[in-house]
Amino acid sequence: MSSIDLLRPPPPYDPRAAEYKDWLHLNVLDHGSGAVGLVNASVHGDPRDERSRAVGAALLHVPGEGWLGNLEVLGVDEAAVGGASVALEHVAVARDNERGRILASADLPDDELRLEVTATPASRPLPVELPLPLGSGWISWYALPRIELSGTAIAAGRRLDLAGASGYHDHNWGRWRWGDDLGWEWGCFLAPAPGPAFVVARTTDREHERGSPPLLTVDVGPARRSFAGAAVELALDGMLEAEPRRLPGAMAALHQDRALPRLPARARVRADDGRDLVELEFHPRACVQIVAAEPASRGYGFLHELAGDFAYACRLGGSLLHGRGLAVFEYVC
Amino acid sequence: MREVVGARRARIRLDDEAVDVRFTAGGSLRVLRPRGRVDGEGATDRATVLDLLDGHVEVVDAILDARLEVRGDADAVARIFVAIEILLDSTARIPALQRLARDFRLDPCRALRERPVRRSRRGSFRPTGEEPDEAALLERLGLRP
Repeated sequence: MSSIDLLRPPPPYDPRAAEYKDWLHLNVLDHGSGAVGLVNASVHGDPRDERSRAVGAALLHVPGEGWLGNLEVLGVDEAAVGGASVALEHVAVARDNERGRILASADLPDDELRLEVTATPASRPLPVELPLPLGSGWISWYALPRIELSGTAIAAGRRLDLAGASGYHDHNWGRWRWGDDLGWEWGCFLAPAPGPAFVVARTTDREHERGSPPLLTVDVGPARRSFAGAAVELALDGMLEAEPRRLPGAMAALHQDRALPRLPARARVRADDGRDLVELEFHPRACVQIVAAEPASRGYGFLHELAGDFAYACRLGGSLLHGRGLAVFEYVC
Repeated sequence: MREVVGARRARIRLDDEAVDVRFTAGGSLRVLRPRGRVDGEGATDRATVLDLLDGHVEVVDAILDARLEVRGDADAVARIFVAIEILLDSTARIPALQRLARDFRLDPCRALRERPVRRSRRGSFRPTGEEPDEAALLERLGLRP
């Protein structure tokens, strides 16, 4: 790993400590089985406030089985939060800065998912450390668009060797309030290695009517091309028919009005800066809705993780590339 | 919650256990042995509670599948659901309630968790009119005109 990445807890006397958020996130896209999933561990709220929480999620969508795994919520003082790790009872994610690895595990036998993954970077890091405006707060992030995985998942009794799977990792931190007028659209689209890894992101308002210009990066081995501003179009259309699994269940029960979310049935990305050209189209097949709650004041955010397939065609540095892969698209409102 | 339920008395059933609950004039909650008539009643079972907590079923599915029942006149039923909503909303900010949910899940005195029971809804995900499950529920409860 080319740099050290640590959690960013608020310093003493930070007036916005209550809005602190820190996430370690990993996506697993297994081209052999078609399974697409995520493992993440996060901290919400001032770590010195007993109401603050640690949340762990391990969810894998397996064709023919549906969503396996679950979400775990603990008080922040009940979780083991280290310098670069968040470990709950059943879900943990850690960055091993010394050995340049990312480690993730989940042990959720009641939810038919066990998973242990070790990841190493297979692309350059994508640091976005400057605070980007998000609602009344800000967000920063650090991503590894492609990571090489080793490990296994036991999903509904079936053993998946993840050595051939693609992976993505990021770390998000900042100060924002769930429930503010904020949202984002983000996606990682990974062809089987050594194919390209695409990452697209933009922040939006809660209705997704206004948004910042999208950023698109394309990593092919050690090479990266970035597109920004007017050179990138991100278009969402249609309405996804797949019924979401909604977690945690208590929050889903509270928000019956969000049981039928209007989510896109297709995402299209087109980037053209006059030199290089990228076109990709994503079709989600399943969705999970994670309800994120503010721990110290009333406020809720809704993170929709859409799992599916994509096709791409691009001209990069004079080379023509095309193919298919697996993707996760996140729609937050 | 006290404003919503007032002096009403409700019965809560979980599997084969039942208690009555009501607020006293002083505002504290009293949990009582079931006795006599109550204003409203809610009943479910442990498996349904866990399936709801784990997002395997939605509340509407639990009601349609007769896994969650709330009884009373319309006013009482509405008040019970508002009380539940207040309770759910507060779980996000009250660690003691989160611990209570964990204790319930891990309670060694209760049966082990079985494989989740997912919804059996036959209708569409985005209903546009009366769905077959809704019709069956109304029939079952004798609420068909």
